[in-house]
Amino acid sequence: MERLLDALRDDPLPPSAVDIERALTDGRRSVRRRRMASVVAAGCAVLAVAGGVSVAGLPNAGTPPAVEQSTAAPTPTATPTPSRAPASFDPTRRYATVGWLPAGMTQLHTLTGTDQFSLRADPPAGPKDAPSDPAQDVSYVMLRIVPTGYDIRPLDHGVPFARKEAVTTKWPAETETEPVHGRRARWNTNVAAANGIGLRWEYAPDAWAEVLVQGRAAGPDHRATARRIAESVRYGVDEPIPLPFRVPPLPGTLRPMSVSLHTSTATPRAGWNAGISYGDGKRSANGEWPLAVRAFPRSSQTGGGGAGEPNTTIDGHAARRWDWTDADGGEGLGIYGVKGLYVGLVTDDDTTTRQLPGGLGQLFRGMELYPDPRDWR
Amino acid sequence: MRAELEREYVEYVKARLPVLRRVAYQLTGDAHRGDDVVQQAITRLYLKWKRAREADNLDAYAHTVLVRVFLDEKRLSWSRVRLVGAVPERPSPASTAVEDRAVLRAALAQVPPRQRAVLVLRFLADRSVDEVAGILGCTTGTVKSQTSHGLASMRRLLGNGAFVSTGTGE
Repeated sequence: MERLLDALRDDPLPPSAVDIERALTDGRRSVRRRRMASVVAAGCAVLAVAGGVSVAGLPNAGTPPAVEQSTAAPTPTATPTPSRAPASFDPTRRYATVGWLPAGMTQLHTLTGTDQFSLRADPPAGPKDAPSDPAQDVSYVMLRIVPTGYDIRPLDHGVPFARKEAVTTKWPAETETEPVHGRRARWNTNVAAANGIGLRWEYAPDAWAEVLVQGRAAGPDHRATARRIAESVRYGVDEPIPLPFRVPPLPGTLRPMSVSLHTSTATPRAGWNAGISYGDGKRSANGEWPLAVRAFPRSSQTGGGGAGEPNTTIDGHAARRWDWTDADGGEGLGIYGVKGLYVGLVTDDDTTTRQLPGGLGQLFRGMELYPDPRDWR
Repeated sequence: MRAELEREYVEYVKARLPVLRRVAYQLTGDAHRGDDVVQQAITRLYLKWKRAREADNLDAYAHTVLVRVFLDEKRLSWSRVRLVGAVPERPSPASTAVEDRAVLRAALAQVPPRQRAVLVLRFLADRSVDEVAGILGCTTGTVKSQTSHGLASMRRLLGNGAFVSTGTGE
């Protein structure tokens, strides 16, 4: 038999489609992401909940969510639809809210960008009782909204992405359904995993929104849940997203590009994680924003739980510095146990670091921190 | 990664690309899917390069990465796989070497992924039982039993005609 297999040794191959340059680019990008994550996500268990680095929370952490959670039958709520969608979003403001979620969704995440706005809700991690209604036994639900002219891309490990391209050409796995808010709508079965369903609708001319409902097990039909969430969406809310810190004024090239906020209605004071990224509208070659700042509750002054051991101090606080000398450089600074928080700051390249007078240390010193969610602003 | 390490990585991948592509082709049974597997594998290899270059056997390390990408891909895409029960079409008595290879390739593609990996690594990539055990992260006993099962699967798929030669797998 081994000799028989020999016939496959010299099986002719077509020209190679392997791209070593792409492997280098993808590899460098992954290295960068890991580095940045090592600073702004060190020791942060909360981040794992949503299965991605870009997680965040919903309105007014520390207070009950502004959503009704019920197992009652879906009852559409009339909401005004915008006559025109924005060309881009303000990442520091909430464009939309949902008025209803399935019961038990205590982990709430908001992720914003100029080209996307998403709200995701998860049940708490760990074993839990299945709800009496199997249609509400879901692992997460997510609302994604994009500005005019953007397409909503398939989920990539739970992280929402938007892409500016002709929307109407991208409907491979969709079927027409009843309108949402009077706007045309389609079911999308091409979601991240099995047992999921997406409801897409044109919330304004040439502008789309989608609700994803990811079921926990095969069988239940989650269409009614998806529709009820979609029908409860309120657009154009335009409220500031409250954050647990204030960053001092930055150079004009470093504008807010993305906010991520995770909150937990089950543990509002300890279960949050907030971050903001800055740039001039264009991600680096590594796919990152040039500057990112993140904070979350962690009172420990030492490493562990994914956090490296401190190697310096800043104003008496244990801290860890990263200084990357290869490729584009960049720096990281993690400060431990400041008012009960871990604060991480990271630049993606030396050019950005040089734009910060006094570097990341001075940027940290200029920050105001609000550990109590009731004080966020 | 420092520029000199990157140069080293590129030189290694360029030199070993034909071998990696061939193994991936033999694992997947499809040249394009094989190239996808290689693309992912060399990206992972980049991320592990500092450790990989220190390995006693860098080629074995690269094969480990490649096979794990292949097995991960099979595992993650399992729900999308439509299991085919049919035996590959038997060649006519006058079949050419090309047709023989096509039948063999089709049969190999139906062998379960880990058994297929064992057969490819042992009999087409000329890796020893010990090396295959290291690559797959299992014992040599498991490699031998997987070899035996894999060869049995091949025999079953190809039938008992003169087309099939003999072999023990040990």
